Amino acid sequence: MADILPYLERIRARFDQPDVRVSFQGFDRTIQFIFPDLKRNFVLHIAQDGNASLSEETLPQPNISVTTNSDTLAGILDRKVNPELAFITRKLKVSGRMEDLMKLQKLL
Amino acid sequence: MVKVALIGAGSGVFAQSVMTDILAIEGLDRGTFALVDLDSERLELAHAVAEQLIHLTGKAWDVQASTERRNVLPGCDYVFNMIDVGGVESVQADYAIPLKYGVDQCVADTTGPGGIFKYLRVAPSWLAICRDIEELCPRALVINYSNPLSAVTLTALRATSLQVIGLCHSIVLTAYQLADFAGVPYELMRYRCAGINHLSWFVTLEMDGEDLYPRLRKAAEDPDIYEQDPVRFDLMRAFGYFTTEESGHISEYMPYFRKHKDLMERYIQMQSDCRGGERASHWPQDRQEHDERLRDYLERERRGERAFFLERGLDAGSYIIEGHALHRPQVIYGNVANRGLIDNLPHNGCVEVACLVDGNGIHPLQFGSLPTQLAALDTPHMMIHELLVQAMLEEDREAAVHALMLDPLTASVCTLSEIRQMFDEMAQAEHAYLPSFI
Repeated sequence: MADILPYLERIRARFDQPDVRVSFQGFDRTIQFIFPDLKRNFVLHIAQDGNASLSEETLPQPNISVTTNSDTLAGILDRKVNPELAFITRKLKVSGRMEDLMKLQKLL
Repeated sequence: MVKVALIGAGSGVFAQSVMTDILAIEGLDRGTFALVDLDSERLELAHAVAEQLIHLTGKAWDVQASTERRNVLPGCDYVFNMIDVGGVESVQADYAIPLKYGVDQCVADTTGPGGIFKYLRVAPSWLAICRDIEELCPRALVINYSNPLSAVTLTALRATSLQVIGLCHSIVLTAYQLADFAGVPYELMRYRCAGINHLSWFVTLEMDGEDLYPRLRKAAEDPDIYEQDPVRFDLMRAFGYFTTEESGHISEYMPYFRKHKDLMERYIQMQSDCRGGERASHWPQDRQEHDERLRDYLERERRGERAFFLERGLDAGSYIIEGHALHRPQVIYGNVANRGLIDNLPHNGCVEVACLVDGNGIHPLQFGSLPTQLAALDTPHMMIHELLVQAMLEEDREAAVHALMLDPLTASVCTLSEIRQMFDEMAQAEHAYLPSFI
């Protein structure tokens, strides 16, 4: 089990980069990260202006849902686990509109 | 020391993953990638990616890159084909013209009007590539990824002396899905699968001797599971077995799912990838975003960050090289000539079966018979492949028209005269990329 907060913060910190913020402008969405191994859920709120904030909470209807074990997400962010392979092998499950999911790729 | 050519190395989908996988083969520490693409900008990007991947793995591989394949083919042991012909405007025409006639395709690149015209664009270049391989590296194993996979692979099987196999990851992807749906560990699941590309069937699906189909049928009663793949579950309920391509794509192989707007809407509400024009609307943007991502990765690597993933994927290409070059037997699924492999599918057509790969080459494994209803779903598509190859090798336009007339989806919504008119209109719109006899 990985300490997942620093990894989620790394995702959020990507929005501190101007180019990332610009590319996410107008993409006001909620991304819920569900970690069954930790029994904890987090939400990344992306605002209209491309800024993002992170909170520990559970939304009934997020725009995008990412379900994975903490080690898998940590492995992806450390470049040890290929997210496409994790998706294929069902270690990473995502749901939401196809266009939103394509955008999500940029974060991982 | 092996030499591996990637023809169409600017491919947004395959080149990076094929190179990553090959570099991940334990013990294959030296070699050469020979990258070929007509688009020099995309070739340059693929070259930079190859150099960075090699650097990250620390292996003694080098890279040749050329817009002229004849410069790099000599000495190749493996040739991966991943070409596309026609660009964005053809992809748009492949979707938009049939739609005027009521044929609302989804991906439109392996079957239906889009698949047929993509074949007619790709096959002449593919044949020319094969001729060069025959002349310059005739002992190479040729691995085809270009769509429409079955017809493109069949063309080389018929017209050349090369050892050719077509690869697609749909079987292994589906197997992981099935394990998840059935609630069993993938590693413990056993299956036998066969048919044609995208229309292969999991004829047995077991764990510790237990048939997993009852579990799958029960899982399909849960709307959360059913709605993940509604077309395939409906096919399973109707014909008894699960097939290998996801709902949106498989729906265009059949006459049942896309012939009425309200019917399509029902599936789209459950699965947005059932929408019409999935590829036509996304492909240009997907391609651009893929290139941007690669450039971003390269830039981040230059800054000292780690951006590329080196984990080996599931695609069979690198496992063929491992089995053959290092004499480590592997079993993969591939598309090969049906010479006694599946009893009740047309002899010598292109079928998808398990293959053993070892130092002697690729050995397709005999499957036996498919349940009759499954053979009946696959056979019309094989006859279309047959007509397309006939069209190409005999310069027979009418055979290509017949292929379109026999397409199950097109036939479900169009009259014969409408289909001929559609063919003429597509031929006119795409003439710049088509052989002159079309």
